[in-house]
Amino acid sequence: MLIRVDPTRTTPLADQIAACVRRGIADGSVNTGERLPGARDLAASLEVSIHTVLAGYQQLRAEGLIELRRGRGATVRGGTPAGRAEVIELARRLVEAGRRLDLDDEELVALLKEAAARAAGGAVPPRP
Amino acid sequence: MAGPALRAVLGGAPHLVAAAPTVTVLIAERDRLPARMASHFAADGTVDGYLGHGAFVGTAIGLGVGMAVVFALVAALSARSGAVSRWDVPRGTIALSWAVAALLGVTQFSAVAVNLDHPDGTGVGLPMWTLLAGLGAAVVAAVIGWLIAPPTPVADREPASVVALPISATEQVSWSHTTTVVWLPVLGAVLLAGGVALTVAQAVGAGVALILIGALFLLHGRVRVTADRRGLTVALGLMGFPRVHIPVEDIASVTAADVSPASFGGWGYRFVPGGSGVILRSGPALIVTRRSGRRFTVSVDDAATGAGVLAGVTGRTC
Repeated sequence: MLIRVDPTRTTPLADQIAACVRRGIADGSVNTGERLPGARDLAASLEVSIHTVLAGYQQLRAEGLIELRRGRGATVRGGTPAGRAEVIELARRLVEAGRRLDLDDEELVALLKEAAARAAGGAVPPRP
Repeated sequence: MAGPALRAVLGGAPHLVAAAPTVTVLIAERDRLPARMASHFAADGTVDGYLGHGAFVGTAIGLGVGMAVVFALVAALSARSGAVSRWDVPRGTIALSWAVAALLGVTQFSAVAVNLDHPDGTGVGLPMWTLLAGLGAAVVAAVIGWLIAPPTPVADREPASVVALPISATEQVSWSHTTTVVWLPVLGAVLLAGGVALTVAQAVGAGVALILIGALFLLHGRVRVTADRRGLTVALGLMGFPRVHIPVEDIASVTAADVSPASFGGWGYRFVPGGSGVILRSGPALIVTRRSGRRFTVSVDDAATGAGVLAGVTGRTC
C-alpha cells in the first residue's frame, strides 16, 4: 500500500492519509482483509504524529471502509465493495471542485439529485 | 539462454552416476557381502551402526535418486532468478551438486568395499583416507561441474531498471506490504511441539534443536516490508523482530524481479554467496543492491511499487 503525504498542501495530513487508503481500496491495490500498517509504524515512516495517522484511520472507519480492533490493528473490512471507496473519493472530489466554483452545499446536493433523477429516467426536479 | 532441462540434467545426473558403482557392487557381489553390513562409522573410522543387505541397497538407491531429484529441481529453478546475487549462483548450484555427488559416491562405495569378504561386518573399519579421497574428489568434481555448467547470461544477473516514483522535496512517502504464509508457522508449531516432547522424553539435545528450528519457522509466518525515506525495512514475525534494515545511504540500486526459493536453497531468511534474502514464496520480489555490491532480496507482492519508492528516495534506479 502506497501512502504519500505532503505537509505543504492545504489538505490536513490525516485526510491525505485516508485518501491514499481509499484510492488503494478503490483501484484494487488494497484488498479486503488486508491489514493496514500499524499506526506507530506508519507515523514513524511518514514522520508524522501517531495521532494524525489515527485520525486518518478513524475517518476510514466512520466511512465503513476499515475495522479498528484493539491488538489487531486496522484491516480493510470484509465485503467492502471497492466501489464504495471509489464513490466516497468521488464525492470528496465533487465537493472540492464545487468549493472552487463557490457552489454551496445545497446546490451540490441539487446537482446530485438531478443526476440521480436523470439516471433513473424520471422527471427532473425543478432547481431551487 | 540455457534451458532449464539442461540444468536439471546437469544438476541431477551426477548423483545417479555416483550411486551407480555402489549399487552395482552391492548387487553383483552379493555373495561376497555379509547379510548384516557395517553401514555407519564413528569419527575415528570404527563401525558403530549396521544395516541388512537389502536395506543397504534400498538406502543407496533412495539416496542417489532422492539427491538427483532435489538437485535437478534446484538447478533448474534457481536459473529463473539470477539477479539475487552478483555471483553466478545457478552455475554454482550445479558445481555444488557435483561436489556433493562425488563425496557421497566415494564414501558410500568405500563403505561397501570394506564389507567385501567379511563374515558379519563386525570390526570393519573405514580408513580415514577414504574421507580425504571423497573430499578431494568433491573438489575436482566441483571444478568440472563449474566448467561444464552453462554460465548464466550477465543480463539475467543484472537487475532490470525500475521506474522511480517522482517524489517532491516536501513529500513523505511510505510503501508497505505484509506477506502472510500459513504453512511455515504451522510447520514451526509442529516442530516446536515435537521438540518439547523430545525434551520431556530426555532427548534434550535433539529437543532443543527442534525447538529452535520451530521458533525460526514460526517467525517467518508474517513478514512486513516497508519502503520509505529511511530505506528498506523487513520485519519478521508478529513482534516485528528480528528485522533487517537497509538505510537509504547504503542502497546503490533497486529493482523488482521474479525469484524462486530454489535460488536460495529454500524458504526463510537465507544466505547465498554475494547475497541474502527473506523468501516466503516464489514470485515477485524486491531486490536491493548495497553499496558493497551485496544484494538483499525479499519476496513481496507489488514489489515494483516498493522498488519505485526506494528508487525515488535514493534518486537512483540502476
